[in-house]
Amino acid sequence: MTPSDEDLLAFLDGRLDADAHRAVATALDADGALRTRLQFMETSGAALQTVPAPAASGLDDVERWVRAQVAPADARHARPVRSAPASTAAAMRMRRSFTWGPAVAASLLLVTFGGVVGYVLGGGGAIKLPARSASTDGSVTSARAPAPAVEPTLPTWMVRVVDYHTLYARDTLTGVAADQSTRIQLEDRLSRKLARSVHIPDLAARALTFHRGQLLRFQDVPVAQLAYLPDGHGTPVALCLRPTTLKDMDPVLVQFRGMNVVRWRADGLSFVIVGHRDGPTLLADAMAAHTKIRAARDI
Amino acid sequence: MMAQPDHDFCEGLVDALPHLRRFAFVLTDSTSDADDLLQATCERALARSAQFRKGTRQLSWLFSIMDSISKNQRRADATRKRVHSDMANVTPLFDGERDTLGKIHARDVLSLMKTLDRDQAAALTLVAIEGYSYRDAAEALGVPQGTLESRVARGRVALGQAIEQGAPTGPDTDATAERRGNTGRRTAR
Repeated sequence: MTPSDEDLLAFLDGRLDADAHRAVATALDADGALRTRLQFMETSGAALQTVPAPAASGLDDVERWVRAQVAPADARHARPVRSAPASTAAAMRMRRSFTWGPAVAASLLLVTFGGVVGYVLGGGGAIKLPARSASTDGSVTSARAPAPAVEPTLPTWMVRVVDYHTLYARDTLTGVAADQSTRIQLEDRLSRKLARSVHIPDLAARALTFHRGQLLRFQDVPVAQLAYLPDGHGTPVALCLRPTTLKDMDPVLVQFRGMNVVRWRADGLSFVIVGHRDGPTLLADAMAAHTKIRAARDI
Repeated sequence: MMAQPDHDFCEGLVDALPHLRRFAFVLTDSTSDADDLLQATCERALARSAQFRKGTRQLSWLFSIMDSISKNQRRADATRKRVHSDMANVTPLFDGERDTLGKIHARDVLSLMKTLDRDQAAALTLVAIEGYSYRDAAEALGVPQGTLESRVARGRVALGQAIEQGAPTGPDTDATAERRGNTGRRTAR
């Protein structure tokens, strides 16, 4: 009987008894194809030994965020978590509108987190950030000294998107307009690049006017950036999306780089919307964008 | 309300991050996806820190979480798609330098592992790179030890073929093994 790959592995590992070892050796002498498979195993074994211990570099953001999950015991329970009625209402409305995943209890936590305010919707892949010491006005307090500013972790591409958006001013988009023809051409281009139908949501009902779309790229993955201006005044809001293999995730709102950021995943796309609009407003913007995109897909 | 992860738990998670990132790199199509997977793993681990039994190997527990998340994210044809899409990315890494093993760099090896069947890549990572025993790796990945050994064996063949020939023929799956007459059972011990 021809030895299996499992036999060859055990042969290489030295895990066969004398009789079995002899049987495999005999088979190898007689079978060139078997010797080739053994050679492949030896080659891969040698190559795998060249893989060094993983470097710790490049993980600063994640490491900082993980470490931030442990608060000094005296500060952790210093004050109760503050509720946020207005924000809760907005989040609950959004929650009802999303139909992702199994039904879970809609919950909203407003926590101050080392200088970061995070609204976290329960369920899905969202984590409920642990509460830190919070004052009634939402500012960070500590029983001893102010906690260092800690930002929540975001996927690297979102960090780049947010960083990029910090450069946007109202003037950036003033005078840049996208007519219907431009929108259609852009949607075609983005759909081709992202290998799926991309619809630019009309957010006029949210007092947001679409001005410009760009195709960006991060680590060889295309990222669509759709820039909107609030009617009247206010700084730009950007909706960005890119393909993902990750499962759907409920929306999470955090502050990052001094802006509000809502991210979520749905239907093979990862979304982030960023701007200086207040949290509940941006949550509602995200809900509107998602609803429009899903409606366009279902047509 | 989520239980607060304690200091030791978070330190263990921080220590595990480089290993988790490498595992995520092997399991996913791109660095971006690996970032997402790493983050999702950290989030779930922190959310479920109360379920971790102290005194057990935290890295194994974290590998198990990452493997579980990754598996759940796979679509029906994910394996096939990732093999095809990755080939274009893998080949240029060598730039004509793959004629001898000595010129293959560690990162190339990890990149080539992305062309393997995902389960084989996971098994190979834990056993051949992280140094897990077959039993411990099987426990971390939630499969019988025999299954784990089969994945390692076929992964070793497929990876060696990829290194020597430069163009793997695709994942060496159970189906192809059966066509060769390998049933996953050893004929002798």
